[in-house]
Amino acid sequence: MHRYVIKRILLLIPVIIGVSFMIYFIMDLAPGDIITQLVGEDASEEQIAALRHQYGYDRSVFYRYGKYMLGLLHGDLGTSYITKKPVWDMYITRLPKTFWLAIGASVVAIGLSIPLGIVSAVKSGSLIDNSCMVMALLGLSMPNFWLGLLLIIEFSLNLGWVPSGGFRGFSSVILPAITIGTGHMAVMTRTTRSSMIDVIRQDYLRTARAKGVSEHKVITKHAFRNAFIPILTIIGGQLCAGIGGAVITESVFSWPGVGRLIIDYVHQRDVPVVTGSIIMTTIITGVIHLAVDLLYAVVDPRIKGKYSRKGLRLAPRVKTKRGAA
Amino acid sequence: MRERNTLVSRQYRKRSRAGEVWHRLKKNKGAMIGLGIIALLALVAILADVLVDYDTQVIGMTLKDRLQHPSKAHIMGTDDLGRDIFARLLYGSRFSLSVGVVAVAIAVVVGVILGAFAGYYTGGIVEDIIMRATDIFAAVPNMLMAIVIVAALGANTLNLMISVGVTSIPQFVRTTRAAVLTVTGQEYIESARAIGESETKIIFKHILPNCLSPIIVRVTLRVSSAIISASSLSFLGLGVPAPAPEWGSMLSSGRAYLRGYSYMTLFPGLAIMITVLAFNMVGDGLRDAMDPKLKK
Amino acid sequence: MENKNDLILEVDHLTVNYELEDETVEAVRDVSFQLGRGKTLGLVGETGAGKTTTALSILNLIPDPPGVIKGGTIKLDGDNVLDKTIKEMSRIRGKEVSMIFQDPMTSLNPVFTVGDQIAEAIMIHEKLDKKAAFEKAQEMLQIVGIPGERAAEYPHQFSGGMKQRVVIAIALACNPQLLIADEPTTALDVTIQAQVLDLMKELKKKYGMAMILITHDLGIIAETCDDVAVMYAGKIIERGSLEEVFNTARHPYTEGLFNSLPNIAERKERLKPIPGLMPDPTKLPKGCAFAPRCPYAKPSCIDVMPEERHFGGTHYCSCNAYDDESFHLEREDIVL
Repeated sequence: MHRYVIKRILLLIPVIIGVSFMIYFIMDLAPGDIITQLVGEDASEEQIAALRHQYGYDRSVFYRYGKYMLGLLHGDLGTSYITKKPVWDMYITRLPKTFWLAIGASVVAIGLSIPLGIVSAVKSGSLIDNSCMVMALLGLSMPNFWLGLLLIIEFSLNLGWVPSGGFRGFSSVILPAITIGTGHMAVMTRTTRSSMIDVIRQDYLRTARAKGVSEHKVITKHAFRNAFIPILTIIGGQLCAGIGGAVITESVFSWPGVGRLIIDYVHQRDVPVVTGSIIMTTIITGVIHLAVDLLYAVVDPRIKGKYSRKGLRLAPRVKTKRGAA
Repeated sequence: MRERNTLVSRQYRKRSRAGEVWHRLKKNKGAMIGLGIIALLALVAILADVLVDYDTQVIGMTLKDRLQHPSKAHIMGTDDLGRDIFARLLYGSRFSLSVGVVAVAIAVVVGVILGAFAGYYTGGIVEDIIMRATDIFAAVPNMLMAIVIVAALGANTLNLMISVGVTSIPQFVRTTRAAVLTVTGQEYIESARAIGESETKIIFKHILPNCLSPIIVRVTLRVSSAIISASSLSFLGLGVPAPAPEWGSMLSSGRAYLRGYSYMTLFPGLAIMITVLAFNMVGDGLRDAMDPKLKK
Repeated sequence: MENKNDLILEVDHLTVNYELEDETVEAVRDVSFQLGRGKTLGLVGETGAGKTTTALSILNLIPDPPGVIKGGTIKLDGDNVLDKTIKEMSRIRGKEVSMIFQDPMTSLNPVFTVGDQIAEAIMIHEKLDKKAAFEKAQEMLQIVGIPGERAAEYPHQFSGGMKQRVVIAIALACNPQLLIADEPTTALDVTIQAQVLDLMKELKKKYGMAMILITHDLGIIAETCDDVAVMYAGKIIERGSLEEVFNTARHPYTEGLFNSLPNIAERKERLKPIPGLMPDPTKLPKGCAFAPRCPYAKPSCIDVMPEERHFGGTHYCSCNAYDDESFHLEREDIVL
């Protein structure tokens, strides 16, 4: 098990290198001269040349990337071109806000979708099931930013119950959390339902019923535990998406989170801020994925055996007869 | 219920596979409604120039008519520059549909080829390179990736298509690879080999057709999320530039007028939702029709 | 006729349909039989004859939808189980009546330890706390021939035969009066089959319970059962004691079953399989369902539903051919 965790963490390193390389180069692709944008029009030739040298823009992009990665090796995410502040500081002050939003959205989504998904599966084909599925489909099809704006119109402009944006305590979390949570909820309700429907047909539920387990327990204990793995995957994915920055929602609600940080500085072509923030996102996402994978083993003992085995392949692979031959 | 299994497939036996899928799809009301909506939208998009005049109705400003609530003259009202919202929405269908379709087309071409390679040449360096690259690519949240790409390339319609398309590639690589892997592991492939069918015949007759259904389903569902992504980017000012009537940017311009003129945000959002809904309904219907096991 | 008090189970005119969207499968049609305390009834028939549906009805576990019990009574110890509430039913399941299913690979929940799965039944019915129930579960494992310490392992760590032993342990954990075994050995290797069957016989004797054994293996019936009922297309077409049915078979289908066996009667004789297939259960003929395959059938058999006739003792058979009093099957009665 420890070996597995260590291996997984080590495997994050090439991913981080790949991601940083990709983002750094794409950002660098952008047309126009960053330095002239930075100093403004009235700067002297010498000032520009000095800055150009300081940021490495008198050399190739590989040099700049190399320098950046050398800093990263020492735990330095770089310094913003614009604010001149360390990217780490900028990121870390934004992270808690994004974190709370992600948690809020997950609470909204999990709290509603799992019960609804279970009921829909058990009463598959009923009126409840059909209405849940229609609602989920609507939730899935509704653009986040539109839902956010509609919520603002109704609950903050018309009713005045909650602030329309910014970060002002608990009440300001409600609308953005619902906005993100609705999309999550739609996906999760559908996943819960289909996963439960698969499990409901299994023979072992009949065994449970035959030994006198009440229907309620058959569903909540025997069936749900088995149906939980796909749901766990979705929860993990949604948490990652939330941490990575619910860019749109944060933008609609002027939420001072990571997503806004990235979008603001993308516009200004601040390469270190964007690259650094995305590296952080990749790391956090990787850790969440690992946590989810470890939780699989808690939920399903069959998976545990796979983790402790030696020579394990990290990506789940389908064994093929041809491959073996 | 062994009794049931023996019966189910009998009535479908005589149809071809595609015919069978279509037959089941026809019974799905949601999918049919979705298909109807898509057909209507496509028609509107094609005939947009006939229905409305671009220069006067879509981008032509009439400041004296600005911010009029929905009325008989302007059934969805006018925006802050006095343009008829309904006319703009009609024309805007072009952007949403074309961006959605082209973006997914890019992703399908690249993703399916890479995925098929990775799935067919398992265990080799080809697979490793493709899958590791996919992992790296997928490690960045979709929306962030798209934003970075558009920001770097510059905000216009083509770049919007490219960025949304490129960010959809990993999904198609993975779907295709998984499908190819599952199919090549099936016993009927073994038995086809055993009776001496040639490798090419196996690939084209057995493997590819059987990989198709997950990819088709993925395509339909992906078009809907591509439309959302594209309009989100436009909403952020990273998509189709003004004054083109892209639905996301129309919504964005409505933001300044939330108080009192909420219809400016209401209608473009509704248009996006209905379009996305239609693709989702067709996608769901296709998934059920192609995999009857999943139904009920 | 046996005394009513000696009967653990009386099934009368049981009819079960599976009502699908555009068709109805008549899975069980007017089935009646009895089972004495401590006796074993063998339920024989082809796949799809309605054996499993009959068995599931006794526990009221027919999947609904699409299954609907259309009529009849199932008296367990004199009480009709079909009148019971859901709550009363779960008190009967696992306590009065237990069931063993065909495929041990899928009948255990993969995410709980086998000990927990056995203990769960004990906790429900005997109101023991978790620890005591788990200890009893370990005892049960030992009874079925598995070391008690393996209780903490998960189903995927057991082989097929071992899993079926665990399923048996779950079924017997609360000393049921009636055990229904639905093809308990079909999914197992031949060598394991014998072991599991011996174990079941031994435990049945030890606990003195009655058993319904569903199988299509006549050899197993001959070894294990006191009574036999032969099902065809949802109906019991012949029933009686083991000797009555095996030695003096009366129904052409029963005869066909014996003729298609290699090791019964004389070895030299060529196998005679029954021609044709069982009819589509959604489109059963008005009369005898076996008529299309029956070598003795007359044109009228297709239209006339045979009545159940008494052939002395506990022997019943439903066949129109016996309208002609001189009729007898080709297969000769075995006189011991």
